[in-house]
Amino acid sequence: MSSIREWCDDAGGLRRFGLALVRDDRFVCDDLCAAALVDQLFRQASLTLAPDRRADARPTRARVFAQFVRLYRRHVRRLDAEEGDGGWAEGPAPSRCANGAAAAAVRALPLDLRETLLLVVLAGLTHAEAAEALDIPLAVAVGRLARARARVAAFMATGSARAPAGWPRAAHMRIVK
Amino acid sequence: MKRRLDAAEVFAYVDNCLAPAERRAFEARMRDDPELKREVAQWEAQNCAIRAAYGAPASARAALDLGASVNENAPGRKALAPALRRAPAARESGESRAKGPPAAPPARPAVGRRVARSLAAAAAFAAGLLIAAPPGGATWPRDPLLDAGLAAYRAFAASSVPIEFAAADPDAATRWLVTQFAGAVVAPRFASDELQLIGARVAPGMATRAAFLVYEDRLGERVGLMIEPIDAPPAKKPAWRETGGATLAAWMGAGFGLVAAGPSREPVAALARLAREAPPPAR
Repeated sequence: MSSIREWCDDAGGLRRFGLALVRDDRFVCDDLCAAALVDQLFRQASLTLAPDRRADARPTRARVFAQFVRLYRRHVRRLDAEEGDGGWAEGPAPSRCANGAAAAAVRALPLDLRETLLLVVLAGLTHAEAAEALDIPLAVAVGRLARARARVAAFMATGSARAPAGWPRAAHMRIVK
Repeated sequence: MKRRLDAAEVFAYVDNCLAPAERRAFEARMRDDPELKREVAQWEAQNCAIRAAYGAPASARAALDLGASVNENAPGRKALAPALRRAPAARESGESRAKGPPAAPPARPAVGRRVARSLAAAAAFAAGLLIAAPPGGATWPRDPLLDAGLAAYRAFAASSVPIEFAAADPDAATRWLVTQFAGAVVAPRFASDELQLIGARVAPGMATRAAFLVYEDRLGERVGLMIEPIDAPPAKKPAWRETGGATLAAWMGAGFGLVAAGPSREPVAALARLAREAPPPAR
């Protein structure tokens, strides 16, 4: 088990992932990063007191990112409940785009596609780890990944979140000889 | 013969989730299929664009690991990254993220490298200080008493900030200050009416809390006098400093540290002169 100091040293990656996931809301990102890291600290402390190999089987890194995703989903649900929409959606993506077309395309993605894509591309989790972090089957995670990538490509090509005509809705299958 | 190639396999290759044998087979297939190669290149380029947009390392192999003993916020991260951030060849799940030969396990940086990194960080910090405050052109008072006076002036002497205790009479202000400082601080009674007292408040001083008296001159400009009780301070003549649109004069004596602060030199000079000419307050 890595020491607390070691993995706290490298928490910048979590913050980078968090900023992308929460669409550059630094206050929300910092709060959730701190909460996810503190959660992991408590978990690590409890495991130190009462070692349980089964509980520690999942890699620490994937667990922290998964915790961030869970906390952000809870944050979005709470916002929706407070605003009375009754839905399960974030607000519109911020119009300001500081990081270019790729970041704008990621920001325009719906939450379920965005979190899958970012867990794999930015957090560096494997598909299986991302699926486990999101509590979904592997096939669903890969499907979301395909849709997210298609939307990002369409956005970067046309500047619109809507996929252009003729673009595969989800690049699931391809016929090859 | 036709067969279906799941896009999941393409994504697994792009995201380095294939086992080494599967990866080699996929690469062999890619050599015979230019369209597949183009598709892989497209998704890899998209991954790179997303990582670059958020300042992440360009390669998935350099994915962040909370177990790495490297602070990516520290200077010199990029130079150390290739050596220190290599992922293990095989994961617990049997998947591999390494394209090439198995990588060495991440090694903890040697003591010498840590010292070098610390020295580099110290040098960068010193360079930053030099840039922020070039020699000979100090823009921030170094004297803690001046610091406290400047902070109090900026926080409490602006016209938009209400006075905690409004009083035009120094005796009334003194009666209020007695309750705050147990008789240690009194509002000085000036010999002339160049400056009119408008109120008093308690402000953070250099080491403890201080009284901050706000005056107005005939033009309506506000100046402040901070009086901080100090145990046996050495007598000091007024030291002047102009910084950030404020003029300050600080001096010590008779058990107090005093700072006069205002927007320009004239009212501050008048306040400092009147305060020094006023009879010393009884402690």
